[in-house]
Amino acid sequence: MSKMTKKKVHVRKGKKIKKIINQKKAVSKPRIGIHSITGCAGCQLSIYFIEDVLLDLLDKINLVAAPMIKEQNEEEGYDVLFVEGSVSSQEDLDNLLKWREKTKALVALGACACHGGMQSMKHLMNEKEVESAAYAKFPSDPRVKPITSVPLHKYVKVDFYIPGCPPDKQEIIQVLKHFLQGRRLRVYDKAVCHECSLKENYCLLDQGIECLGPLINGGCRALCPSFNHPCTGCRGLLDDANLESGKQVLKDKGFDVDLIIKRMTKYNSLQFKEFEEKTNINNKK
Amino acid sequence: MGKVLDKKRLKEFLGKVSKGKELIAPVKRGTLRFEIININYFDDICLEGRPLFSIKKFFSPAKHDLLKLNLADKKKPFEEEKTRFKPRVIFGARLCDFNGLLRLDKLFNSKEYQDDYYKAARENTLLIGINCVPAPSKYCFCESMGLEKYYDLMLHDMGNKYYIEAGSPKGEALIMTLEDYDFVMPEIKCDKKLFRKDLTQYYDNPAWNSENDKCLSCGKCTSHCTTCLCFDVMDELEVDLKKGKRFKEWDSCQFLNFTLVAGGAIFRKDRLSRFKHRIYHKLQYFREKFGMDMCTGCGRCIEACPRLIDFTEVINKFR
Amino acid sequence: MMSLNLEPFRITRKEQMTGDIYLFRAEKAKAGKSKNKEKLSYQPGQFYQLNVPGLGEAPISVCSYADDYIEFNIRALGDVTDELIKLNVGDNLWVRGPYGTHYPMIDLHGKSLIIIGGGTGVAPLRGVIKYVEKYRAEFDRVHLLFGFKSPEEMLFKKDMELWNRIFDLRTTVDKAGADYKGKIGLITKLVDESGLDSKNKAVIICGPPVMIKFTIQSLEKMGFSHEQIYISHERRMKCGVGMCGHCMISGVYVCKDGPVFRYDQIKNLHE
Repeated sequence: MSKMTKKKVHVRKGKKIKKIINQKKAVSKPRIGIHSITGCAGCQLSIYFIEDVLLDLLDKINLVAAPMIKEQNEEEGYDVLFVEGSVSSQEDLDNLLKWREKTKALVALGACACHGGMQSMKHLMNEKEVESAAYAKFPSDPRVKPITSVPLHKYVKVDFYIPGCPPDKQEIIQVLKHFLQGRRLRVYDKAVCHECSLKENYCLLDQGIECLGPLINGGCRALCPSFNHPCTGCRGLLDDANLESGKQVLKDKGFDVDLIIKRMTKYNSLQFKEFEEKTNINNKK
Repeated sequence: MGKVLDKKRLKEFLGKVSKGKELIAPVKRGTLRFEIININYFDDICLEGRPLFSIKKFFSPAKHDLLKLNLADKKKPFEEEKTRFKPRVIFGARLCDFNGLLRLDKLFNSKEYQDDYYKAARENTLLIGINCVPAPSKYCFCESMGLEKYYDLMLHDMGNKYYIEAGSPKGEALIMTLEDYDFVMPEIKCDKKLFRKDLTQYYDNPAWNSENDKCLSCGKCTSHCTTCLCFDVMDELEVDLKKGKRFKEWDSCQFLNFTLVAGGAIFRKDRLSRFKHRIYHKLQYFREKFGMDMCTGCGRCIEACPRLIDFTEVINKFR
Repeated sequence: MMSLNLEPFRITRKEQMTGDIYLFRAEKAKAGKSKNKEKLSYQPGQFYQLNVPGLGEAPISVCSYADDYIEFNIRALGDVTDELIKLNVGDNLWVRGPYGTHYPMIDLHGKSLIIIGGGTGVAPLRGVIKYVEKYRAEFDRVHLLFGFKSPEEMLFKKDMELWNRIFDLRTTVDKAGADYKGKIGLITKLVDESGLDSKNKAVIICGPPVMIKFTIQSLEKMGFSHEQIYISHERRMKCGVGMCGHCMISGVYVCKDGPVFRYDQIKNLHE
């Protein structure tokens, strides 16, 4: 290398260091918030349950809002906001819309936020009946204005999803790590059956148990089936779930169609409904 | 001509053969699996039926570290994982399992490229099989697949004794001291047949559709397959974001995003193309390239499938 | 593992092409104080796996032809490439390769070349053109037909000035403002209107799958046979050595049997 170019490189290196120092000054720890709408708050708890590495991670972030564990909470300027629960009332919606404005990235945390969760079963029922069953005996609180429960992405842009009921601890850690690395986040997109057979579990379907593994997004490391509990679908249907065939699997095992649909819609009524509508349209074609 | 071993002496024989080595055998705990066991638990070994999971995990593990990462070390952020390997004896696997290895060899231990772990595992594993008479599953169809007699030792159950044949010099040395026995190893007979044929002209045949409609794209067929070897490679850091590892994990061509490229294009988006890709890779493409089918007729993909999708029936329909 | 030895290269030049596309030049990082640069042997069309520890690898085609350095044209399109474009001169770049087939340049000696590129697909073609620059006498006329989305997204503007002088260079953009003086329209239009015949020619195409498909249709109409056409496929190449299965099209491993194919040999493959 000639003298000239050597010098050039040196100058560039100097520039580089300056740039990094400037960046260090400019980039402080990312401001993270955790908020909640209608749900059980269990998702938020699973963040706090990552005890073993929570402190290491807290060291790298600035937790500016987490009403469950903090008294002083900031209302704006979030870099990443985790929201658990589904939009089930006007108040939820108002909050969600407000938060979306105040954050750079929004993460839907848990089954309710990602797919609607159990409270979204109204999609497959008569809404008036459900409401009168729930509220008939009690004078309705005028502040509660129930709306048909939907996942966050029906109203706002969601940047990332961490499904699960509750979300997997390791996955929460992974998402935070990937976020800190500046990595594009990707939802695990292989069937529960995949992770289950990597573990060489004794297939629950083969044992005559009504497992939804072949239809559901994994990423949970097949937690439930590994403990002989059938998958109930808390991580949502696969993007290309074959519902018709999935129903047939269970029918072949002798299960009642009603039970099968109840199982499939436990967390994912809305997704189920959308899949069915899509199939109907395709069949008509 | 081979040798004979009294069944009562099998434990002693296996003990001797596996001395200083890991013994791998089918064990029934809930379901039948190949596991590393101590010879003292010899009685746990179960030779009835063939495990639904193949032996490939001992050669290409489901999840396997490739590199250690250390981002703090700018000069050497990557360090190869050393392959440490204790010699092994696999006992009680079947001819289909061993033939599966011959297929895996073509890609993981070719002249051009070798997977270090796979190579070490192949060189340090003794293969002792059990003859499939009678066939262990109604889904077996290896009789149609023209398998090679590939093993170090093959045992045939004769009631109170085993007839043993060696398939390699290594195997021969192990049974030298046993008593000679005049017998012919019976051939495997399967209920299910596959009429193998050139599939080129059948690609667009509508017969694939009915089976494809059943397909859930759950990937069980590929993870249970004796010869499926596709994998994904990923990096994962620890919480300090400095140390980490690069690892590989089994993947499946049946998943929607298997062919996803940066930018978002997916090349096998519809289920049918993925379904046929698996079958054609097994029974057409691999043969064109390596002169053998990438299927050993173990029937695991059929048995593991939640819908018991049977590609042999589709192919047998083609005349 | 898998004889996938990573080698450190050192970045010696970095140039911004467009917003998120950079051209990098890298040399083999020297062991010890040896002054001799280690000779590289790669061919236009081949690719390297470029590494970012902690994120992974990305397959990137070479876009140069030289003994002592490689150039990569990198577009930030994923985790790895996002990070790669942040590298600077003097940084280490960990690579393995070269992998895959290359354009059969020697077989094409004596022929006239038509080189057609779309967008970042022009990058691997730059390697071909660099080869032609070096062995100009071996080839008859050389036609370059390039299409970009907009004037802003044009790559290798400096090279283009030279190419415009020594080759028959024609460019087009899909869209442009009113003040743009060049040609506007799809690359297929450029091909259709080129008036080129198929006599003693070889065509090399690189670009998005749709562009390749329609360009070939245009060429067919102009009398070109599939044996004259070479294309380069993009797939998800994870291992690069024909093991992982991600890049398979029928029985073909794009990483090992490709990425460069003569069109007649792969046109009938099923995805």
